[in-house]
Amino acid sequence: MINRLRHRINKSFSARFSLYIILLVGAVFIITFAVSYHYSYRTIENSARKNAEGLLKNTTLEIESLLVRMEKVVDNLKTVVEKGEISTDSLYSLVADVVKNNDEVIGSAIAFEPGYFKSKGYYFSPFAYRNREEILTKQLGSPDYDYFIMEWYQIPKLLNRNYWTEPYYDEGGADVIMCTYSSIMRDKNGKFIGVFTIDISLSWLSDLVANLKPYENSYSFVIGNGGTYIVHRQSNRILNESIFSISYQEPDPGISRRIGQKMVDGETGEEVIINDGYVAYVFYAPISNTGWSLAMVCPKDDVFVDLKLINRILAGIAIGGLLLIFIFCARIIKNVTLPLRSFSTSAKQIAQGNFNVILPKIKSEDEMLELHDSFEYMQKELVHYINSLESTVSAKEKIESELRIARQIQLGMIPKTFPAFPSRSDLDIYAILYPAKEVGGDLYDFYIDNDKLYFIIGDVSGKGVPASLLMAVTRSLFRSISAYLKSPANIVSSLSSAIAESNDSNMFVTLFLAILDLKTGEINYCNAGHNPPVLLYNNEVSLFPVDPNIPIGLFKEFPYTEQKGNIPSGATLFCYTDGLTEAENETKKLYGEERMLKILQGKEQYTCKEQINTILEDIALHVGDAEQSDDLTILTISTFSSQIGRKIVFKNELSEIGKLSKIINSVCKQMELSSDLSMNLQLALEEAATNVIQYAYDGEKGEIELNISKSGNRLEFIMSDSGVPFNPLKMKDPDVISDVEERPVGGLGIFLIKQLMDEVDYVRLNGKNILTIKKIIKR
Amino acid sequence: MEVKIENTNAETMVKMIGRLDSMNSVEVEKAVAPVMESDMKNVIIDCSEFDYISSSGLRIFLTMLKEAKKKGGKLSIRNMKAEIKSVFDITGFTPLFIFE
Repeated sequence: MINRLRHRINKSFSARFSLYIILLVGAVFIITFAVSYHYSYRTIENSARKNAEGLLKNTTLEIESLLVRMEKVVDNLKTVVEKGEISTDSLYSLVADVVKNNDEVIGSAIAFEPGYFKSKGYYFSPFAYRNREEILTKQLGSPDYDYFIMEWYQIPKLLNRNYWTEPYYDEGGADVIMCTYSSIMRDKNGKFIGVFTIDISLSWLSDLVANLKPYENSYSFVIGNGGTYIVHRQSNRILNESIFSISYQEPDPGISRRIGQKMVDGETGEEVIINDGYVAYVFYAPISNTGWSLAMVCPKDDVFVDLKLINRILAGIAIGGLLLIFIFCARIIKNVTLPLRSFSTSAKQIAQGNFNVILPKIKSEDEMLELHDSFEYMQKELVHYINSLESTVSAKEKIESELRIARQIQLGMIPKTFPAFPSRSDLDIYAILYPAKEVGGDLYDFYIDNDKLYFIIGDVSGKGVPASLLMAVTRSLFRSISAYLKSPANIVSSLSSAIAESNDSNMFVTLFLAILDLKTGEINYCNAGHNPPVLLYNNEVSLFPVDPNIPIGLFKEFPYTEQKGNIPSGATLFCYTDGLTEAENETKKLYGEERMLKILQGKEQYTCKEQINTILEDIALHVGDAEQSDDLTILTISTFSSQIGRKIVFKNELSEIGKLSKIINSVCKQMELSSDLSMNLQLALEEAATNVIQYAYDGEKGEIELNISKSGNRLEFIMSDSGVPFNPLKMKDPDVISDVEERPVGGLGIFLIKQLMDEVDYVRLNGKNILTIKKIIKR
Repeated sequence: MEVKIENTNAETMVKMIGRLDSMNSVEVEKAVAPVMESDMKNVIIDCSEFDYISSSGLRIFLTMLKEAKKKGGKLSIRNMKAEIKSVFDITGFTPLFIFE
């Protein structure tokens, strides 16, 4: 789901743009909201504080004013008593009046010092009290009620000042919580004569405090001097518990105790507490005269209840607004970008080749129109471009196909079928020609006429089509001129003047042209500025000596010189063009003559095809991934005079096996033997030779002689060595039956000779091991 | 003589090209050494361009087969020319190998 949404947002410009706007507006909303919340919070907190302070002040004032009024009543009346202006019996009606005239007063007494009035005895204390609606009077003092030790009497006397008692529960009397104000009475000498008291029920205080409730869940309480609860919403706490005792039930007693201490000390202030799991503000203020303190607890949630509501409304508006903006933006942008979608479809159709697709109509004159015009321009240009490209491509294709045909024609001119002369056992010849481009300027050609091999290798200056034309001309001229001229120098001279005659573009050809007598190995040759061929013979490589004649085609008359030489039997003449030595690798480094000679060393034992493949592999290693830099042509020629009846000498080295194989091959060819028989002979002779090479000379250098002879339908091979005496025929035949695990490796060589050949004999004669192998040739 | 080794998921293809005689057997032995060191699960010797073998070449074939058997692997020969096959026949090698 989320992935789909993300995909949609990534794909749709309108969705993405709308999202950006939403994010921006949302951020503005959040900042506004945070700032507003911060300041609203502060304002509400301040106003709550002021409100609380005002409420507290009003309430304490109200309490104080009532208490002061009560005090005044007593303080005013007591002077009448002090001056003795009233009879002792009238004192009863005095206190009765006090109770009657003041609703808050539930009792009033005038208590005198012991025996103050002789007539009245030890205790005298007229007392009036409210009993329901009635007001009753009585004399309070008696031995049972020794009021001199009561708090309301004793403490003002001791303190010598008017005194409000701590609230107490009057069990005997009105069964209410009350407190007593005692005003000291003195005679004219200032001597203490007793106290005038009034008792006030605290129910009015409870009512008053209960009304002190600015928030739904807020409440107030009053504590006395010692921290005892006087008024509390939990009535069981009143007079039984103090703010300090309660603090032990709280998770953090410190806060309550601190508040309690400050309240007892008569301070005004506020604290934040955690009360029953919710945060609340506590505001407190003293009630003067009494030493009591009033506190108001306001839960924070209640204080900020309005702010929360406003926040919810704001959040609702914000989310709704953002949603509207999103939808609105998406709609507008979609409408605006609608032409873009059409353009996109058009572009796809154009890409598919439909250049005449109709573009969307743009009514506005803005960027869309510009885009429309650009599209239209692109359409026109594309049609134009494709048309011209098509004609170019078809022209190019035509040239390319013509070049392919030209390449086939060119390669068709040179002999490519190998073995070229399968009937000749005295000649091995192989050649390759790789043009760097489709067609090239290298050439080779050969043919045999009258046991003489006519061959040419050449390189036309330049590459490609012009070079290939001259190459074709040169090759044709070689065939036609060599048909009647039998001297290489003459042939080259004729070639040169024929080409020079019509050579306006000053092209030239380097070449090596030779006539090899296959019977004698004699070679007549002429080199016209071409790389000298390499002669491979007897494990040695040497450059064939050539005269410094100039390339052909430059001058009509040039005295080309002819040279004579000899190609011994088993030797190879390796002819090549500079595409070999100048083959470049990626860093433009040339292959070089030195590397070529190193690779060719000893390779006369290879067949001509193997020689060429070996050097091609090494060139490929050098060139790597670089492009072929020049045409490359190689022509190799090996000659063998007949081996039959000759004595052939080998060194006792395994590398001589190649030479042996070549000789046997040539014999087989000469005798026109089947490939099966040829292989069997090669195998038998190799095994015999390998046996001598490996064991006869005990690590020393030595020679092996081979005589091949033929009598009737029998071929005879006599192999001799002067090594340690060893009769291979005495060796036990190897195990050719056991399973793989038990089958010994080796010992098969001699066995193979015996199996493949018709007769095998060994004799030790004149210090030589002589092995005679005979094979009957079946026609 | 050339030896081409191609490793695919399922098999190791050893292609023998040309003549394997005593002159180049050491070279070929070196060329197939990585195959002998492998697990030899499924080795196929492609002889379609293999022209000649002598006893030193036969040694290499037998050594490879023994190694494969020892490792519990498989070695088979593909497209061997008849002339070479006849050498295998003479030397009693034919029953030892699997010819595809």
